[in-house]
Amino acid sequence: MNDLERMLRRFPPLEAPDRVWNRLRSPRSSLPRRYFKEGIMVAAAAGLLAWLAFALVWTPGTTIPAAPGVQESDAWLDREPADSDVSSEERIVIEALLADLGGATGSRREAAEKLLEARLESAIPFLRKASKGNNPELRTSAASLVDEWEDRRRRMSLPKLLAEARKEAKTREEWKAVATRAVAGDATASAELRKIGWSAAPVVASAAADSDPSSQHRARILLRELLLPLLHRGHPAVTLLCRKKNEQEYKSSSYSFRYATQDAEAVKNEIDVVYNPCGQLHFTPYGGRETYLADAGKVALDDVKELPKQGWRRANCVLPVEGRVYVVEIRADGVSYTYKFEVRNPTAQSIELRWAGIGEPRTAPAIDPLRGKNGAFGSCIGKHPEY
Amino acid sequence: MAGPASVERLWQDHAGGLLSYAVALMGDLAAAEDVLQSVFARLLEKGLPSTVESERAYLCRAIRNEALNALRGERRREDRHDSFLRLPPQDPREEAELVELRRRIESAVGALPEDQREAVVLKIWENLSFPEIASVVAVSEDAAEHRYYRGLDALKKKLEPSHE
Repeated sequence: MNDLERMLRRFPPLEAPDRVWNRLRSPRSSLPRRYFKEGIMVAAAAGLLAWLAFALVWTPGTTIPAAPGVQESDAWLDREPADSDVSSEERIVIEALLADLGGATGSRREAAEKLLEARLESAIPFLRKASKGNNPELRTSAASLVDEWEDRRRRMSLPKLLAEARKEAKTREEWKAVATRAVAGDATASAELRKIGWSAAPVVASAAADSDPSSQHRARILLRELLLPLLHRGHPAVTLLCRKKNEQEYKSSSYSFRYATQDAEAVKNEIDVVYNPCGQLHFTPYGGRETYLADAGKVALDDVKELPKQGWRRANCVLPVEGRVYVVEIRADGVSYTYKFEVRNPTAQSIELRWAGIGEPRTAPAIDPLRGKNGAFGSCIGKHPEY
Repeated sequence: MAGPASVERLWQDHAGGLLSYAVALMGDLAAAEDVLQSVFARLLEKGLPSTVESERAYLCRAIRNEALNALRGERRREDRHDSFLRLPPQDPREEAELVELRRRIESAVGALPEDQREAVVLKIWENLSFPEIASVVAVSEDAAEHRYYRGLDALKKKLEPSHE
């Protein structure tokens, strides 16, 4: 894709107005809300099963200190995968998908694009080559997948997350043998570590530290998977400055629960909450996302252990009240994320949020087309001198 | 044949892009909305044929036929250039700049010959491949590619000062 094409693509096409669909389909479908309620039940059942599985694996009293004796170097975690890291079977699949991406039409090309996106970690060296090739179709699609990969890496830094896991994870001797097998390519061992979750990440990193490049490649894929939930865990209080104080820039006025960061530059459109001069917290300010909110009342944050069964409303903003706990569901890119946060010291200058994930991310119902996909600011009734 | 639920999915996935395409063809948002509504009304009534290979290309072809029917007898209104693009998410300080850039892009695209304009819109904003564009506008793949690159060259010349 050349610079001109990239610049033109910066401007997305229009969104179809709700009124046209309303004219076509009346009365309104209740599909999204019904799916939403069913989703809560499925998530609750999945959570219970996950807890039972963890309880079976975990035996208190047999733990050993978390940190390995010698602090190994994590430089290999940042290494870009090379095509020689990829197994020959995987290479055959990737090459077939690239052929479809450059030559096939319609649903087959779309399917190839989705499958490559799901295995970016292995496909990236091949995509980089394809993005500089002679086939214009392939060049364009491969370049956009390379962009996606770079975004993903920027948002999820493995060394940073692994350091966090090392501080808190409890490792067990027997996991080390499993991790060694997983890094060597044993799928059963990898599945066993997935059941354990992020606590097993430090042993996987230790097992891979001195191994060959293809084992390290497998370890990076597994670590990315294991460490993802760390982004969803509870975090200490975060302070958001009123956006007016930041001269209307997002900077420290915004926060991404999903990526547990205040670095608006890094997460770009994945900001989840902004403290605006209207005195309200605005959620998911970019289009194409939906937010639902429930007020859990004046309770301790730790006492809110599950998603409220009622009181949900679709909300783009809330006037935060000192001491209250809110539960927020963010639907983005087909995934539903749920968080709880407690409001502390709301003033015209700043606000403090103590927050934690609640429930696991799960598949979200489709965004309701009848409600539009605009960002939050357009629908705010508060004062926004800048808009 | 697709049921109402699949038509709803088609609406979610494609309606925005199709509306942009119709505005780019007709220059008039209200007329483009009518075209979009007619196409989806027919889909709700008759469904999507099961033989369709690419939904997006099929829908673009339907929008094109409907738009050409609507335009038959009256020429494209050259005085109308309704916006067919949205502004990307931005820092508020960039807003004025982006509004101006969008205006220039839309005006440059609007000034392209019809065949090139269509190829550029279908490729850039509908994300169709050249074989799909060829099937929508009923020309050979080479012709579709040729139109696209000629359109892109013309756009580059018109937009060069800000693009550099």
